Amino acid sequence: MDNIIEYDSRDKLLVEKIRTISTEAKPEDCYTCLKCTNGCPANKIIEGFAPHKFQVAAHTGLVDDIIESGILWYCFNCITCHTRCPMLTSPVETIKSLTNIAVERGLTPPKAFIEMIKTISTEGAITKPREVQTTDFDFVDRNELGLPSRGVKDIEKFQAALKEIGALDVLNAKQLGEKK
Amino acid sequence: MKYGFYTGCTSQNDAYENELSARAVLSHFEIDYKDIEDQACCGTPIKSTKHDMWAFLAARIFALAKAQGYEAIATICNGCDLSLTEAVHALEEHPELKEKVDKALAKEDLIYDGPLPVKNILEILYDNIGLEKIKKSTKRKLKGLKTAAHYGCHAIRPHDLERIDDAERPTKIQEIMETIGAKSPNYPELLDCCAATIIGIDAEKALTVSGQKLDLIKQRGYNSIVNICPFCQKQLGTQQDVIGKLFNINLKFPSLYLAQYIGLALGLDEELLGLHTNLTGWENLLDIGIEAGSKYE
Repeated sequence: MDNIIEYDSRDKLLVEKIRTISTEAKPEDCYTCLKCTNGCPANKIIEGFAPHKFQVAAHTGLVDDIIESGILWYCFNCITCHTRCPMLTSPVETIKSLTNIAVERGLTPPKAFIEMIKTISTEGAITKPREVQTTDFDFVDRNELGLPSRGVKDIEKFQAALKEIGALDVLNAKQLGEKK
Repeated sequence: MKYGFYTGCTSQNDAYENELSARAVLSHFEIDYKDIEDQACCGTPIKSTKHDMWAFLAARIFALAKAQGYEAIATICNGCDLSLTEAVHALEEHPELKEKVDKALAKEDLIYDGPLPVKNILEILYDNIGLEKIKKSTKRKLKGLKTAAHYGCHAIRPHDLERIDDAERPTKIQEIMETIGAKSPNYPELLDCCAATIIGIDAEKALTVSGQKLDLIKQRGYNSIVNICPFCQKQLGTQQDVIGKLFNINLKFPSLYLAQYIGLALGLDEELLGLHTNLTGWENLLDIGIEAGSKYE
């Protein structure tokens, strides 16, 4: 092994790190048959989005470029790759693990995710209640439709729980700009 | 079975017709359900960003439902349904994750002491109520409808977790549609993703993907679409105007929730099913779809 060139940027512990997030990802078992990438809907529309490449990169621990490019956020999360993998690996779980690792490293996720976390912490949901249009050109909300009210009763306790689980770390992450 | 009804963010805050029609149909079949009090997000939208927070939010729903005495959780969104199912496994497999989640739950005086069965409305309709009962309750057959089924990825995948239907050959939605008189044959794009997940990242690409599916469905001679997930319904129904402008085509194409079609077949009130908040031109279905003379019976 002494003769093998060791790259500085190689994260030798990456496979272990991924395993702490997902036991199904198993990038080390991928033999690049491309069944995942051939069935991947994101691959058809997002240039360079190729789940088998993410598996290989994760296995070798050379993921810095991929993480910083922001391409992983384009995963549709359709789970087709996981379902079709003959080696029972899960590229989608690798992608999810790597985006989590990116956020842990202090990279800001796309704005939509920041907004959702903020809204969850104030409303308990990813969006605020909206009025919707009807076929009679009226606008109605939950109340007018006779639906029961929603919302977290003790929002302060809920926020304390979110703080405990580390939700605020994401909001306070270093603003590196939206990566794409 | 005493179900705790879990709405999820999208149905709770704007996809009201999903919740309305689910309630109407479940009540019609006398399913014992009540709302889980104090419910918040299931966690799925932030799973890729903050895994621990996802697990906490999902575990929180189980903790609430158990504390409130429910025997199972009824879901009306594929995303919520999979999130809860996956979280159970994640918490079992990762004791250190469960420890973090327990600490957070304690802030709200909640305890996660194991899961409850999670049942999507499609499972309740197909497995609990059953085709026979649905058939017997049908007052108006939806003849003339050729409906493209859209299951939604999270209803059927991953194949190695308890999912609502088969990962590669799902049939439950189509069997129900045929039970109420419609036709719902397979088509090559049946399993294609709606791309809702990237709508907040690249809306144009997300709508291009759903637009392509809609366009092909239309070309294949279908006259309607059936969804069970509010995210999918947004991509294939609510956003049709935007997609139409993007592609410069007319995409007015009736797209309803499964419970709304069933409700129509049961003869339930249209407003009770939230049909008046659906702007995809569903009214046409009443003319072409419902057996002559039965509309105003």
